[in-house]
Amino acid sequence: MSIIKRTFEDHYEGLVRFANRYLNDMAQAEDVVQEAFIACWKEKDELKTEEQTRAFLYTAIKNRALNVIKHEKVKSNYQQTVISESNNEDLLFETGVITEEVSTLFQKALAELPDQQKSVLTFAMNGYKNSEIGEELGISVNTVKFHKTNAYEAIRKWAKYFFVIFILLFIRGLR
Amino acid sequence: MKEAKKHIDIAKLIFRNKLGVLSESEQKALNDWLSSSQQNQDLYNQLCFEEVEPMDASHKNDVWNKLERASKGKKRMVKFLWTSVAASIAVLFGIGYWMLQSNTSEEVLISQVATVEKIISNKKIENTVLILSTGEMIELNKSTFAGGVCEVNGVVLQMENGILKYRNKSGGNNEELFNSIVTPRGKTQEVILADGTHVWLNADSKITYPVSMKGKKRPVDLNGEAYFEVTHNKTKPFQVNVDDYLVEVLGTSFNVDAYSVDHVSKTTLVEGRVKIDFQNNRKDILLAPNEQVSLDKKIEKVKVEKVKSLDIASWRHGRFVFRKQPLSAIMKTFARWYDVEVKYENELLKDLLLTMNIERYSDVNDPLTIISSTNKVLFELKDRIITVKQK
Repeated sequence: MSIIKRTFEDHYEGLVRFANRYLNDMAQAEDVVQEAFIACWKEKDELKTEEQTRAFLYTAIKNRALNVIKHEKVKSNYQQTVISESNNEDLLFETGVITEEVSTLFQKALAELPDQQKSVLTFAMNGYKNSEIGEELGISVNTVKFHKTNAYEAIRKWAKYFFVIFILLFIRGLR
Repeated sequence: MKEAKKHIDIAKLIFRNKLGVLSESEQKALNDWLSSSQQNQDLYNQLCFEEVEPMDASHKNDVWNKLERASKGKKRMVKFLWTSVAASIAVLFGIGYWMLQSNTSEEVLISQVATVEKIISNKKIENTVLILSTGEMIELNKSTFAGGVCEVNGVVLQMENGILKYRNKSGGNNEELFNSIVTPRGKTQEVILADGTHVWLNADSKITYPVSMKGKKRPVDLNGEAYFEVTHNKTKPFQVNVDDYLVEVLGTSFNVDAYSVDHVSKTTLVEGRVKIDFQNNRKDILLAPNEQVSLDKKIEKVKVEKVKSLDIASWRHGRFVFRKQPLSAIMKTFARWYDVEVKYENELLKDLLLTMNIERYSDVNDPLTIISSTNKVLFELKDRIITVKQK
């Protein structure tokens, strides 16, 4: 599978959500993301990793989205603020990239897991303590720990996102 | 794009932090990012984890088909230019971060990270650095790595007796990832690639190579000097891309001396056969053992001559061996190894021909004393600048 294909498979939804932060119009967001992918093909010799490819796509999507807003004069209040305050433009970009990247990582992690582990992991990621998760799901703390350990172990399978550190992950996951 | 890369890195740190798996230095990098602005903290606190309904698969499939058609319609016929690729990798790797602690005062934090190229040009690196495909940098001689094993797309990395080794394991997909190694002045690094090819990287050099070597070719980018013992594989040519040409081999041993900053680059064949491909700029050259091709970039001249190839590769064994070489070439080598600058009181001194075979002493004064014993030149060393004077 080529890098572009893989990036598309894993990140298309996230990239559309990212574009939609600017455009507030899902159909237009999809168009912009698709244009960015086509631009990506032209650069494919230089985009050697998925991360480089994504860095390229986020930047290309942002530029295209801002162009659409400027030229087509799509005007909601939100978008006007985006263009008029250049500081916000950087912040919007940062927020957008980080939020969608984290979200996609999370979706990928969840996809590997059975339902009970999904629930435990979701609560844990949102900052719930083991005891609180137990209460929410009506299971014992030990069961929470058990699911958590299994969830973390399963995540190791796509450890390519974690590279060097996954050994640590394994150790801590067992605690 | 650099900004985007930085945000992607931060996202990864945040996600892993939520899983409770950050190393100390990563935690520090994340904390620095958090404390650098209220906005960052707000962003962090507002992140919410929820399962998202996946997009309709058939719609996604349609989109992909449409994209694939569109891309085929616009295929470029431009020839693949390695030099531009090499440059862009350097830029694209962009902002990485030091993953491993120690030398805390020296630690480059994620908020102030520089590009790989900057690090090289500012001579910030004091140790050999491995750059993963993610842009993450690992200092190779740190004990933290020496004991560790990491896995990248089905490939295992290990440090054994100071040699970095890649081994293919089963699994992993066909996506080709690239790693790089950058040596500082005064240090060399040995690496055994996934196909078994043994590479010695000389000081002040950078090499980029495929991690798994599963592709149809084995392309390697080099800026600097390296000696290669290539594992024979008829079906997968091994290619070394330097600024102005490409060295293509099937299995053989050779030395490439191609620093971008030098105006002459040389490739020397020890055994086997190699092809020098100038990418349509001039005719290809086939080298026989003990032949050296040198390209003078200034006057655009290529010459092939017989040399003692073992001399050329002697740096691997910690020796400086020169045979009838001009002083300027010798001093260039010293400058690179001892991290000094060289000035000449008299330009004619540069052409003084010398022959020597000496140990690579740890102190620059030792080889200088040996050369000055010829009674032809004098050296003055002050503030890491050597001035060459007439005796």
